[in-house]
Amino acid sequence: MDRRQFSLTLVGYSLLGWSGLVQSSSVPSATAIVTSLFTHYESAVNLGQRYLTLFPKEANYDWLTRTTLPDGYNQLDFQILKQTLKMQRQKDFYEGNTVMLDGWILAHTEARLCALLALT
Amino acid sequence: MINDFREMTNETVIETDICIVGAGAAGISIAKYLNGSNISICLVESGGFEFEEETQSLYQGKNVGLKYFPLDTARLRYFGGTTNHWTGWCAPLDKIDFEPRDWVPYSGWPFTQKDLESYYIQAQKWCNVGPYRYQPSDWEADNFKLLALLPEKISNKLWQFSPAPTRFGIAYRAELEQATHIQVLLHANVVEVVSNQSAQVVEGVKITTLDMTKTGTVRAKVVILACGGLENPRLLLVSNRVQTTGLGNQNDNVGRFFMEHPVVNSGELITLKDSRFLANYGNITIRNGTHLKPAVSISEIAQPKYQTLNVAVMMYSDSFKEQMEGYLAAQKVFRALKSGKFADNLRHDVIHAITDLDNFAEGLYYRFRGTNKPFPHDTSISLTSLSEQTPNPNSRVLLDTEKDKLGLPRIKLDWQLTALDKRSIRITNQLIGEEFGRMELGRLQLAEWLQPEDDHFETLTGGYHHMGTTRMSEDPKQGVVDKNCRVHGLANLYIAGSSVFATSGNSNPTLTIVALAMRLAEHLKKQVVS
Ligand SMILES: Cc1cc2nc3c(=O)[nH]c(=O)nc-3n(C[C@H](O)[C@H](O)[C@H](O)COP(=O)(O)OP(=O)(O)OC[C@H]3O[C@@H](n4cnc5c(N)ncnc54)[C@H](O)[C@@H]3O)c2cc1C
Repeated sequence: MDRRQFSLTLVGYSLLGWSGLVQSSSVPSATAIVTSLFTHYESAVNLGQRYLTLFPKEANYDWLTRTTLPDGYNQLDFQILKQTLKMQRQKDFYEGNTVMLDGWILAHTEARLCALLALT
Repeated sequence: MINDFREMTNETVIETDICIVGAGAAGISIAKYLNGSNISICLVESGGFEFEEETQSLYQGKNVGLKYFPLDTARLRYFGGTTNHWTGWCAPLDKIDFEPRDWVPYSGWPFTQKDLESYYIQAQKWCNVGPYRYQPSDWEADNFKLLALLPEKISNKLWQFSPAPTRFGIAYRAELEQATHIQVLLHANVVEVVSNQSAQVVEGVKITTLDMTKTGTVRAKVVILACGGLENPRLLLVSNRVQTTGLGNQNDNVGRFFMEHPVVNSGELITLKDSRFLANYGNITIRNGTHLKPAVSISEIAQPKYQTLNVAVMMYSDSFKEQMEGYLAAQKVFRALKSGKFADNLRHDVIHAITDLDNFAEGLYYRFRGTNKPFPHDTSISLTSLSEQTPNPNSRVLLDTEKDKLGLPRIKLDWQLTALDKRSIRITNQLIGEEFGRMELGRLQLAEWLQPEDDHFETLTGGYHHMGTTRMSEDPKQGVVDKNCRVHGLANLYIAGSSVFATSGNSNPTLTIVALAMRLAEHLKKQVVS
């Protein structure tokens, strides 16, 4: 599967939510979940790569998963997961827990989700 | 009464209670305020009723510091002064602007905003703007709503705008003409403030016509310089016959602390939702006949926390206009997305990733199914910061070796900014970015030049506001005038105008100039009468 096909696949995943994945394998991985959040795979990867050049020490799949995704993430309903991440993002902004990528002020959570994708 | 000095006899001596030098916003306000009292006033003005190129050329000078407007285009030298083309933006200085702040060098005025309030209220009328209501909450009953920002970070700030800003020379000419105790003297250039031998009392001013065929003297109990923020220090510095460093310059403060309002492009905001809610910020809104323009600024709580100056940010976007006409900015962006027209600097990646996370996928889903769920609204809004400037003794007005037609040294302006100035703009915009993120309104990108933590400025311009050059401080070592605008060390020399500002805030200065002029007039009323 080339990159283009892969991202088209992601669009499909994303439209279904990861429940589609659950049907085909019992416990979805963090990768599957994060990819299902993004329809624009390359954009998210670009941001993630930029983030990891700024924070190379965070290029650790397990650590990023633990830090970014909520507990029991692979058992949550897709909409609840999205809502949880949204609240986490808002909290980041509230607390000033932000990162600057090319001047863009982003919540750490959203940048780390992209980083997670860039590592897969 | 209005006279033209060119038509008077040579070596005329005029005796008066108060001599005001300069008929701009400050000078005219003082004369107007004192009209009706028994105090005699001579208002000495360099120009006539119209612009004259030769007189204006007396304002030429050099910029030797940061890039700035040519000095003869940054002000006007005729009756009414620079109000002959001011734009009419008004706002009082904020409460915090008057306070000493240990993170802002030389900050603090010898009085508070409250002390000036009654004059501000009156100044509103003289500047032809609305009632003294500058809290956004003051206008909520008039259906004027702004964003509910987190007060720990960002607050809303209001300007009032006069579509027909008072041209002081036109608006108040008749009143001055009819005033029995006021003599306006046109085409009289003050070339020296004359003091006694100990430089403790001024006796008056020397005047001359532009062709120097007529010279004269105005002898006064009190002299007030009201020539604008660049010319006030110049007149003090050239008046060096007795005090050789210049009148009032015993502590080498005259001309120092020059401040502008740095105006810079500080970034871009992409709004990912319907941005009609921002239209109030992009437009001038009229409520009860008052023209309002909001901006966002770093809050009074955040300034000490982040150790910044007082910075305001205005939002501009073509799409505000479009939205008023009912267009959806998103359609434009959708077209741009499809044609790949976005700039390279991660812009389209940010838009994609963030909208994905913000239920964009569902939007796409609806499109595939042929239903018409609207696209997220994405509008680009450019951010312009207007900032307070750090009081900085090295930012200054100096005398040049080159002379004007009257033989007076011209000005050299050395405008300088510091790392604190840039840091304050950066932090303010970062906080705005955080707030827009928190409210799920969009994402902010800082302008490229603003990202490095240095003191380098780009896209820098000013507001034509010349402040601080004869600054106010109760300590003569830190200022030129005291809390009553009296020059330290001189019993009867006063200064009016923004050159006395101790700090600049981010509000346009004229409303404060007029309020301070009234306050000075009130002080002098008591002084001169007693
Ligand atoms: C394009 C532009 C737009 C502006 N817009 C705004 C705005 O929207 N809001 C705002 O608050 N401010 C604005 N300003 C600034 C505003 O015009 C000034 O703050 C205000 O006019 C200053 O008042 P002043 O009386 O101190 O000085 P001035 O208005 O400059 O008056 C000084 C007077 O002194 C006279 N004079 C100078 N030297 C001598 C001398 N040696 N002898 C005799 N007379 C002398 C001059 O001829 C002049 O009449 C703007 C300025 C410009 C240039």
